[in-house]
Amino acid sequence: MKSLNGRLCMTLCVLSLSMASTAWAVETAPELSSDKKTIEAIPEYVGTETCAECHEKEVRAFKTSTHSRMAIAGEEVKAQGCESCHGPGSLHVDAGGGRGVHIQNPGKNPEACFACHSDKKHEFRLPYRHPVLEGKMSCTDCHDPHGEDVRPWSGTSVKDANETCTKCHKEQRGPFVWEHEVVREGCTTCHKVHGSINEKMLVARDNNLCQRCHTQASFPTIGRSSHATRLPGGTCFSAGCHTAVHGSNFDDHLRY
Amino acid sequence: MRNPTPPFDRFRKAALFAGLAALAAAGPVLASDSNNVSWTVVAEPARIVSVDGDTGRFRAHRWMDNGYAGGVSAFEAEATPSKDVTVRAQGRAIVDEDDYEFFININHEDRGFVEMQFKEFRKYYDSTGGKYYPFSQIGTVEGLEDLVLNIGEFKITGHAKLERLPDVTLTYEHEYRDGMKSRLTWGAVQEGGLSRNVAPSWQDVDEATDSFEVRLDDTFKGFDWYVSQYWESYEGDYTRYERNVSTNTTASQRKTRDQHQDPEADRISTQMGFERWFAKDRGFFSSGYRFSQIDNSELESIFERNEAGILTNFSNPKQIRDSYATNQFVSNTWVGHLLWMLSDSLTAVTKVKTEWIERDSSSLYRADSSPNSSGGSTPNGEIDQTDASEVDNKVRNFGESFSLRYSGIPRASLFAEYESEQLRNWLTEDRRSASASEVFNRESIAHTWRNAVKAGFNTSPWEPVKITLQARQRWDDINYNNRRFTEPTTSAARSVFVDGQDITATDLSSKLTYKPCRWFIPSVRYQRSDISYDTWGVPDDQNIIESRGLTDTYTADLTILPNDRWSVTLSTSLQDSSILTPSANSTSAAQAPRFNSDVWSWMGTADYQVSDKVSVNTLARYSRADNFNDFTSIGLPYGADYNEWEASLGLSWRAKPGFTVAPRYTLYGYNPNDMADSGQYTAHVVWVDCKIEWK
Repeated sequence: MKSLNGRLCMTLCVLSLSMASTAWAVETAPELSSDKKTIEAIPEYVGTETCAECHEKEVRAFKTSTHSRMAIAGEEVKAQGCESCHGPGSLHVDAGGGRGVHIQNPGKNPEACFACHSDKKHEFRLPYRHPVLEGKMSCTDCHDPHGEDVRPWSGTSVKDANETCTKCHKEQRGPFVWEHEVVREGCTTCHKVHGSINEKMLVARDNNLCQRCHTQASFPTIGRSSHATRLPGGTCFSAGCHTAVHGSNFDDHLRY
Repeated sequence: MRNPTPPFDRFRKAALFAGLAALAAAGPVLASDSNNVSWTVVAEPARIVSVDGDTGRFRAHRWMDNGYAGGVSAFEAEATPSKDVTVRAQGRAIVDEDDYEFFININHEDRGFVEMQFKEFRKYYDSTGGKYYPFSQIGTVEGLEDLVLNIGEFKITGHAKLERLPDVTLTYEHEYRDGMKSRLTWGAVQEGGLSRNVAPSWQDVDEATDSFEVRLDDTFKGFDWYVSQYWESYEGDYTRYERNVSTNTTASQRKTRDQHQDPEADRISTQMGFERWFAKDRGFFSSGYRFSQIDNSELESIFERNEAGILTNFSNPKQIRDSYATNQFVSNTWVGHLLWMLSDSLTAVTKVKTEWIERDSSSLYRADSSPNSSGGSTPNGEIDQTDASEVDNKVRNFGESFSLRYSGIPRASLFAEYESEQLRNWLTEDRRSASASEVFNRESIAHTWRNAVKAGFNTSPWEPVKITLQARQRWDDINYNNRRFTEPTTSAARSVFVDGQDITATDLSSKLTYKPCRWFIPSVRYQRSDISYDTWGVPDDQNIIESRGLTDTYTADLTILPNDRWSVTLSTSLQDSSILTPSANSTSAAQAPRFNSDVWSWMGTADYQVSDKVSVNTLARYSRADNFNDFTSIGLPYGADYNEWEASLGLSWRAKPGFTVAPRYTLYGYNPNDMADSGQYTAHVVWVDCKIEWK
């Protein structure tokens, strides 16, 4: 465990570096942001055609995105196309554009995605979750909102079912000698990837998770082996049982 | 077992301080032309956490540690030192959390850019196991105190725009995970004659991946094309710990197992593609190809010990030494995409995919299993049994999708999509063993047909109202043609017992938003997911076994802006989720009742602008999960059952132009049903942020 002195030393060091740099810049800058520069106007929607004047490439490519099929044509509906996610753009246009200038960046702020996907706002607050609201991940780490497939994988994408997940979760990528076929169906078969009340973001925490597929008429016989005394003891993936649920290099029953 | 709090290694330290030094040095340079600099720093001189109760559970839920932390929670700067050059930098450094982020991009409009980023954060894990409340002598079994995993990446990208040559992009990335995590491979806790698997398990993780990519992009006769070559090298070092606990003196009930795994993998991938818009942007065509090969290997050993830490073989021992596996996975994937605007309001999209996968795998499993006895025997140090596995796998995969988008109805857009996939999976698996129960042979061809139909619309029939709806029906039909399999013996199962499976999934998603005026915006959202699994066994067990998973999620939101000073949001979400399998109807002790994952959450925020310089923000949240089924007489109830709450009060004070102080206090609470779980806590967290900005 780090000592208190060590912690304070590191903190002061980082603060000093950034504050010294800040102070130097403050001294050479004529003034800090003043009240006179505060924008009080309410932004208005300008339409996708206006966005295309500077962002022609992005607007053009967006037509191929599955998100674009939600766009309503014409000027009758105000918040459409780019502005349905990035917010009304009039102030951004008036300011001459610029990254982050009076425009929302959903890659940095998940609230833009929650405007439509409102259920995810609660899922990311469940006890076991990917740390999007903590700022350590963003929706765009797994989803490409402008992409041909917004969801991480489809039956016609170059990526396979789990490639987005195994970018970080390399241990589960394999390949393994003895595969667990369900992994090819996708990680979401067993995991609720945004957030879950169950540990390891599981869809179900008990044997029902496995028994969706591994139940037969002669239950509690599974295969040809009676599990009558084993199943009450705990989950299928308990110690000494089927611990290699993502695949095993050595055991056909995924025991190790 | 190593120190559960690994030291901050030299590489990360060097990268961090190099980044901060670059920022500090860049400060005066960027500020030298003060008309082109914007700068924001949010210093967090103090974040103080005080936990009353289970600190481990708090850390796992809240992603923050107990005690003091401080640093810079956000740093952002942008400068244009010259007409064509833009420099952007962002950063974050909460020192005691090992929570760091650093990004710098130097962009020349005509020549390209250089970009560097570093990110590291911690994931905390709760080290306690489960709870079986009928146990009177052993409560919740505690594990190690400090399960912490540092997760990070460092990436540098250079992009050059070359005259009369393709653009070149070079990327190097180093990813790592280092520390300890919890596992759900819980060991047995025995009290008298009753045993339940609630003893915690954890894993040592030391993993690093280095990757390098070269990519070329260019345009030729109207076609935008690219080629990329990717190399990746991955190494892992994992040790998973199992322990068993008992009130009895029986030695085997107190044994431990450590599983050491050392995987390595090299991956190469070549990808190329092109795309083109045509017919005055009414049509779009793209095609791509990817070759990918992964060669991996793993060395594994398992050590089984008695309570004193001495190597011991009990009955059915797992004493494994230097078992070795190799795998080669090769895939060739072609995709095509055609978009065509049939009219101004009707667009058709077609996508196709062809994929060939081949896998070649083998392993040797070496066991030192003699002598062994129920009371425990010392292994003789010799490999008594070696099981050899060989697996060959070939997959042919074809995918197609066809969709239509129609915007001809005023104030509406409609879409429909049909997706289909056909897989042929040929698999041979053979394992030779001196033990008859470990012999396994199978040759199987699985044919999978996946079909999905989706339709939806987005409409705003009149300005205040917006409605979206999407429905999807998916059918997966999997049939196994088991050509060769091991016949069952009295001690060994048949090597195949699934003959086929049908999966049917119905998903519905809808949302209604009503915005009669700017200051009152209610919305409701409903989602349903209904998945059924119909499975049938090999010819002597053709009964279709039906299982079902059902989730209904109801979400309601309300935003109120009574005036320019007030902003209030209210939100509630109910998730009603369950899984039901035929085991719920079993009369045996293995019965598993319906598993519920219901949770109801309420959340409200209120922001008030007291004056031009002062604003107050508040948040209140409550969440209730009520899933405890008391079937301890036949098993372990795992349903989550808790009350959780959060209340926050913050102040923002603009002390002078460009300088804002923002203290905040948050109360967190978690109270589980003590028949199902432990881990109650109440936590007080105080933050102080100081924001400095100028342009």
